[in-house]
Amino acid sequence: MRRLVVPVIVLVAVLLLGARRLGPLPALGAFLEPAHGVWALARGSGTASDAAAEVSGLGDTVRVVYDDRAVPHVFAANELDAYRALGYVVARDRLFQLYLQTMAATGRLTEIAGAQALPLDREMRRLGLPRAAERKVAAAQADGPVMRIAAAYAEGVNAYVDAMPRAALPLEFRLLGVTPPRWRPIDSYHLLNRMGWTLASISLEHDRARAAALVGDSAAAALFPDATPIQEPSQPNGAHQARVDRRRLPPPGTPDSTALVTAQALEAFAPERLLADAARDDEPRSMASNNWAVSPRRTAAGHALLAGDPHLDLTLPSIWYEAHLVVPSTLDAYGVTIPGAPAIVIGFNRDVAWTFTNTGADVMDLYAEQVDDVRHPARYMLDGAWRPLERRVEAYRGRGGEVLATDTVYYTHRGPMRLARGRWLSMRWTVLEGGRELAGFADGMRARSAEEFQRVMSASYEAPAQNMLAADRGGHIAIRSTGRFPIRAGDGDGARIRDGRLSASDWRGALAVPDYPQAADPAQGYLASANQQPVDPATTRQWWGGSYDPWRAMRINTLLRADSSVTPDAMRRYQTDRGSARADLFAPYFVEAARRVLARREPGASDALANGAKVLAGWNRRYERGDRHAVVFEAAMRLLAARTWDELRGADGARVTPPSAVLAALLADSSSVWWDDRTTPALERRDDILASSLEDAFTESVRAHGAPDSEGWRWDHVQHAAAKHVLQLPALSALDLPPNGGPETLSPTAGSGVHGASWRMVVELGPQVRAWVTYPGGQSGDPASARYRDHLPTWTAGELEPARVPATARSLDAAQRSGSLLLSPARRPR
Amino acid sequence: MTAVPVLALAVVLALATWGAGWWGVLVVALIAGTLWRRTHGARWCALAAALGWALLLAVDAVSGRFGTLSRGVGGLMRVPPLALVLVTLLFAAAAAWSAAAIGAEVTRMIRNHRRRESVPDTSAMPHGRLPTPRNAADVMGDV
Repeated sequence: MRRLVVPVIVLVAVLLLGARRLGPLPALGAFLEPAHGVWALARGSGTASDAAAEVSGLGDTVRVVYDDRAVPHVFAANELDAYRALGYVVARDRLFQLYLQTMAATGRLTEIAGAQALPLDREMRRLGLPRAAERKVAAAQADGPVMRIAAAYAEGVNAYVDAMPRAALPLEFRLLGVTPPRWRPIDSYHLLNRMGWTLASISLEHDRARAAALVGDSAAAALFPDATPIQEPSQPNGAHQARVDRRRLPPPGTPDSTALVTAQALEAFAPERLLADAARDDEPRSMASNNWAVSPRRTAAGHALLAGDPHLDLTLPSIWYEAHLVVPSTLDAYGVTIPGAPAIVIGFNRDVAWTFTNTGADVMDLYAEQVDDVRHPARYMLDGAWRPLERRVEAYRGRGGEVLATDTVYYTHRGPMRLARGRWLSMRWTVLEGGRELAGFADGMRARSAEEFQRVMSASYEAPAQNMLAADRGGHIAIRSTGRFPIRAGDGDGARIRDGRLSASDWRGALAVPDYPQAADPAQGYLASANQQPVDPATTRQWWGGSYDPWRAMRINTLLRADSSVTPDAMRRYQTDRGSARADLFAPYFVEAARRVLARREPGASDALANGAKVLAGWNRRYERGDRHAVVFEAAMRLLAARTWDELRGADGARVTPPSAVLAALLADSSSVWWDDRTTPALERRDDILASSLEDAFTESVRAHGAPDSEGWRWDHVQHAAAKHVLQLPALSALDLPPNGGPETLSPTAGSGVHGASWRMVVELGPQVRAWVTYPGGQSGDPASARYRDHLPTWTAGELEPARVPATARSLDAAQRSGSLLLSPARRPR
Repeated sequence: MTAVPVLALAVVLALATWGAGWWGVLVVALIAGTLWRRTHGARWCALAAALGWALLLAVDAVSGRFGTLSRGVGGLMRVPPLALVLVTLLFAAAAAWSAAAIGAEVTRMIRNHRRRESVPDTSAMPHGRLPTPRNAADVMGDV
């Protein structure tokens, strides 16, 4: 009997480790066993082999040819078969990404990560995103074109899931101990909602309310203006350079005590991501993007050119998946899709190329509601009468299906309500409405001209609003800010909380398409957008509600104005141009301020200021990797903003920082009281703050990075880009990538480096369409695959790869193929 | 000769893993421990399991992706890639050893029990006989 003790102890340990998860460790038995466990993934062929499969619902055989960049070229007999095949190939390469996105978008991450994911899930559900997807699906006709597309895509995904051998289960599923569920058509809607959450959450209201709580309404409105003081709009305004509207900022006023309550209430609706980023000095506040198109008369070859690079989170696998869909005489679209979206979202066909940047318009409004019972509301007041609230109980489940928490979410006719600081606020948001975006993408892929592309997109596409840029083979270029832009009552101001008791507070409709910001074939010969305010308020009075800083737009315009013979290679170089309009504007101010302050200083003072000025004076203001000047400039900019806006730091340490364009406009007012640093007894003016910021930046840089001529000052030592695995697993991430620029350059890299150009594309619309592309990642979501991150070297080098665009399956050379897949209609069960 | 049966057992364990996953190792080792009454039988079983899984790993490793995979998974587990391979083999060995040892010991106990039941009570005999050394080896078995 005694001899049983040790074997039994070992067996119990083996069973515990082998059959049960232990903290973050998966159950080791199934995980480690080499026949079907994680090691079996090594046997996977990826896409580099020939395979065949059956897909239910297919009308005909679909041939998929993978090129040497592992891009699937789908040749189908009809469009729905093409979407089925797209679902199949995306699932084959990105199954876990599909799953994780759905869990995130539906607020079900707790089911794989436990209670730690509760805040993320609550955010999704309290914003009403899963409910919105359900309503969109319910509103769509089951046999309508949009649902048919979503259903066909789902059939493709599920055909792969159903036939997937155990050994092919992606690594992440094994780590989490879960299996992939079947894909539902509604999951495509969840994904689009998630994109809306990512891109349509600019919170001007919040920033302005925070500021008003500290410096009063008048100053807050000037610090967070409706119209940015530097105008370089995407709808050309006829100017030949950016215009700086120098306005005197009103001095800090009396704090508005009610504004703080408002700000805190607004935080209940603000995405956690934005609030977290706002708490950091150096983190980009929001996603950004660039696009531009050049008319044939300004290109070397006489063909229209288009460039696009959407800036999003850099992840592994990438948010994008490259694909080519061909249906004879119907569809021939190449570009990138987001796994889960049955469409080429950004790309080109034989006639038209298109790409997007985020519009950043304010499409989310809040209303102060009156309810019958603050604790357990059942009704809300509208026009003097009580109306019933819709009530939805949200249950959050853990890994074992147990309920971790429940929330009751109430809805008015406007949208979800939240109780914040004792007030019930309801929200109306375009992302929760609409739902025909998939139809827009489907129609857009078939467009034959830039004009047709804009027309079909405007007919269907509502959210998130995008600056849609298109160029065609006929030499036309066109841009339009497309989406649903609400018309508000009264002054149209969307930056304040409206009275929910009145239906008069509701949106009055939406902007008509002719009133959208737009332009076609402009006299200047090019169009460009980089999330800047799309229309010049001097020419068009229209509530837009917040925008990004204009620096990238200024830089693109500078480059394009100077080049009357643009080539595709020049477009590529511009995408990773290291120049900075922000540095061009601010750096000379630092140098001049230092000169003036040094002139009145007594001898023997610290030479940090002189050295700092010397560094900036010798800088070409380009964020090259080997540059040793940008480190001081960025530190100086951070200190300048902190010291100038010291009035905007609350007693709780929380602060709000106005756009850097406002700071730039303030430079013209050297004696503004905003320059004064309240922490010192002296009354500082502009030059004092600029000089002290530069002086301390130099000292700080020496302390942090060593002597100015040391390697530590190199920009690529100070700043990195990073593509993190979707589960944030460092071992599967690409960290410490060399940067292609700095903050506010065309390929921006700042802060933690996790935002950046997620896809770069240059298209030439000649007799034969040609395109060059890359993105930071690879086609495969399998970390063991050579295709997991194979585009990273190209991306970090700022290079592009030629896209292969075969018209038929046979027209791709054998040397350019890496595999094939034959999808056949599933045989009916007997 | 021990090598041949150990190698044969390794193949059987590999096939069992292929067919039934890691539970196959436990089942086969338990059976082997029960049937295979050799000196240090459980240890040989452990070696066979490690060899069987090494064989399967070799099949996996034929692909060029094995190195990338082991680096990635090793990174996740915060162990060197080679250590992860060793952990895998050790896991198989531990599972096989414990199951085989238990199988052998339980078998021995059952046999003992049966023998006690079948052997008459010698105390009542005028010339009671003790078990011979050969009988003792049978009863004790080898673990």
